Amino acid sequence: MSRVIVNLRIYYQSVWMVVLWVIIGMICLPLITVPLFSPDRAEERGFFVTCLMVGYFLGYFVAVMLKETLVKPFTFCLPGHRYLPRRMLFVFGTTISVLLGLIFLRYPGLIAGRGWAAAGAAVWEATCLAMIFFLLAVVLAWRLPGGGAWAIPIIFTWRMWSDLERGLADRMGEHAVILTPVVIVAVWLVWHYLQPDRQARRLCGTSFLAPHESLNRTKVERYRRHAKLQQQRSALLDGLLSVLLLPLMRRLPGTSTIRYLWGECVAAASRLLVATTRSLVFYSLFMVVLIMGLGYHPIAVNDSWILSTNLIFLVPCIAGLAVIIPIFSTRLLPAGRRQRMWAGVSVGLLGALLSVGLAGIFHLISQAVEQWLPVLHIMGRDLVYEATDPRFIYLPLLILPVCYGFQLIFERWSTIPQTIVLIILACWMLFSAPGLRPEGPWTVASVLLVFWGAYFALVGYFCRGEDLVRQ
Amino acid sequence: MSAQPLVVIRELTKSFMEVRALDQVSLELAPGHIVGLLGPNGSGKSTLLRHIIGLYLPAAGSCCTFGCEAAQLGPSELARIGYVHQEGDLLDYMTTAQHIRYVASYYPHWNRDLERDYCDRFELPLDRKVGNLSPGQRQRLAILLAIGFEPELLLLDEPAAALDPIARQDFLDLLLELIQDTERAIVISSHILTDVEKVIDQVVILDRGRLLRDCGLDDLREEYCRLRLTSLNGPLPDELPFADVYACEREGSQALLTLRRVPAQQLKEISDRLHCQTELLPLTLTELYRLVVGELGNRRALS
Repeated sequence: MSRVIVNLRIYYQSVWMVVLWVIIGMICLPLITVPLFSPDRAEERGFFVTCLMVGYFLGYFVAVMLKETLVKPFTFCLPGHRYLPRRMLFVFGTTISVLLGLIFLRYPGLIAGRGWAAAGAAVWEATCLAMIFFLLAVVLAWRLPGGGAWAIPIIFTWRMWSDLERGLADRMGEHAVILTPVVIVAVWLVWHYLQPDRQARRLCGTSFLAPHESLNRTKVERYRRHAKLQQQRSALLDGLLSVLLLPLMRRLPGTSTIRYLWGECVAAASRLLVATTRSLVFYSLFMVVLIMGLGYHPIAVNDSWILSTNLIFLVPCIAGLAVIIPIFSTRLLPAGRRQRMWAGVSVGLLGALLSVGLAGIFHLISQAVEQWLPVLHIMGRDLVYEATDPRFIYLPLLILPVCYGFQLIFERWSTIPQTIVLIILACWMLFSAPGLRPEGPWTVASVLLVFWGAYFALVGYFCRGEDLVRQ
Repeated sequence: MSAQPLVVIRELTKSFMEVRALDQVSLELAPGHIVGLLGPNGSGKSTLLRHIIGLYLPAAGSCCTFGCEAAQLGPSELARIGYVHQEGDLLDYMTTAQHIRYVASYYPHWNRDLERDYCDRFELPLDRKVGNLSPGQRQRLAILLAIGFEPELLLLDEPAAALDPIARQDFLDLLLELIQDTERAIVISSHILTDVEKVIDQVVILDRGRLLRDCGLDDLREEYCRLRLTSLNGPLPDELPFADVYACEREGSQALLTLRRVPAQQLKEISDRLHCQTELLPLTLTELYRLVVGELGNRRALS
């Protein structure tokens, strides 16, 4: 017991870790308690699928927490420490899976309609599935540096899965015989994969950024720097810089403001263009899959489904946030505060316009694949693909000035703007209600004007009246 | 200082929350000098340099660079200032060559010959990404980016901290070459006093935001000295007739004193009276620095 306590003390050195667990609890608790207290609404809320997802998220976060301690060099020599993560993962995983399986008993009509034997089989199957999801999350989090990214597609496709709820739930219990050996093999594989000595040696001292550390600028910078060491050179960036961007810059007059603005825009664009060919191919494929995943929905479509399809327009916002507003920098270039102000405005606009351009490309892809994608028949439901609505393309223009504003205000906490986008995304998914329609052009224009006006005012305030290097 | 000063600082005060980073600092930087900005961690060295280029706004007082209020510096003035920041804010996603070309594109007069010489001399890996460079290589790149356009005012904030001993020596040689241009001033903030001692001719010492000393290095050397007394006739007396003694080591008929310099005539009188031989020894910059900083605290005369 004392070893467990000592290890837990190591894990919980960071207050953000505690905060993270509180947030996870706040998300998971309602998902689980809804069927317990209002089982008649369970189907509507996609209870079964969310139960599995709870298993996934808990698996992911527990694994990340344990991995975080193993990467710290000092834990390598702690007596018995390396054996604890595997045991904790399996004890926690088994407990969670059994609980999630038992909660499934509350699924409407399960016992009354199908009898106790079938219900038992269904519960066992749910337990097996929860365990498989849990172990999947553990392996992904353990294996990949940015394992958390794998949760995003699941979040995105949540609505589609929840709509298949009835089809899934009706057939629960039918696969218990198949799933039993599958889960045994999965447990055996993961148990051996997490072999303590090998994992301790593999992970010790490696670069790793835990989710709760993403608010810590120092750790984020250190992780990014390490990640950059792994990057290859980008042929695209090399070519553009040497042939087009820098020669053009040298043609602009002397130490003029326009030359400085162009230079800052080059730096901002270079940050976006740095992606290598391999990563471009990966992200392109990822986006095509995501566009299709979001585009499919039941034929009995409602407004909230239309909105869900257009969630894809929020993804370019995340790309746009790779642009850093060049106000707080110790890089001394021939530009005073006034020039920095204009650079802040220009680079912000550039980032937003590039994001809108990216949204446009997504829309074109979405439209192009629409004619090729068939109607899918899954578990008795027909899913039809619908392309994105171009009236939502302006979204990055609306969201990015807010995010850039937060980037300036919380300059030390670089992930706050990304968090804002994700919160908007989550709110959109959870609360997109029927009746919510694209706004008219005048309303959109007015809101854009207000948002960008506020952003410009903020840039002006910082450049005129504040220190340009933060303590 | 005869030439028109490049930087004039008057009663400059700056606070961060409760901490007073600079406390009524007044200073002038004239061309033709290499100024050593010395002080312990948190003494306000970086804060002072950032005021000179307008990154910080003063809470009180003023800081004028090239005759212009630092916060109002425009492109034409800033194009005459080179600045190496200790954390090295570089664009990690570019290669070294791209980064050099990128920064060079900002300046109408970039010295390509100097760039080539520097890259050869400091063995900068031009094809490697900046993010992949070692801390020493990053520092070398940052220095090149600050000197490539031959600035009139070069501000170096801990520039040699990440350099290996050979690179550090090369860097100091480079500073001496740069200062051959008498229109130029170099301010170097460093903890490695043994290095800067070889190049600086003016010393500015800060402690807890206050300016302790702003004088020539030779003046400082004139101010303090180490004196070896060797008795020619028996032991030295218990009390030696010197004021302002900061350290005293005795061994037999010898005493080694660190003290404020005594006029030659007075020294001769004392040596005659004590029947002893005197020898003046120079103090290193580290010793001088410790004397100046220690003087402010508990000043004790040891004898």
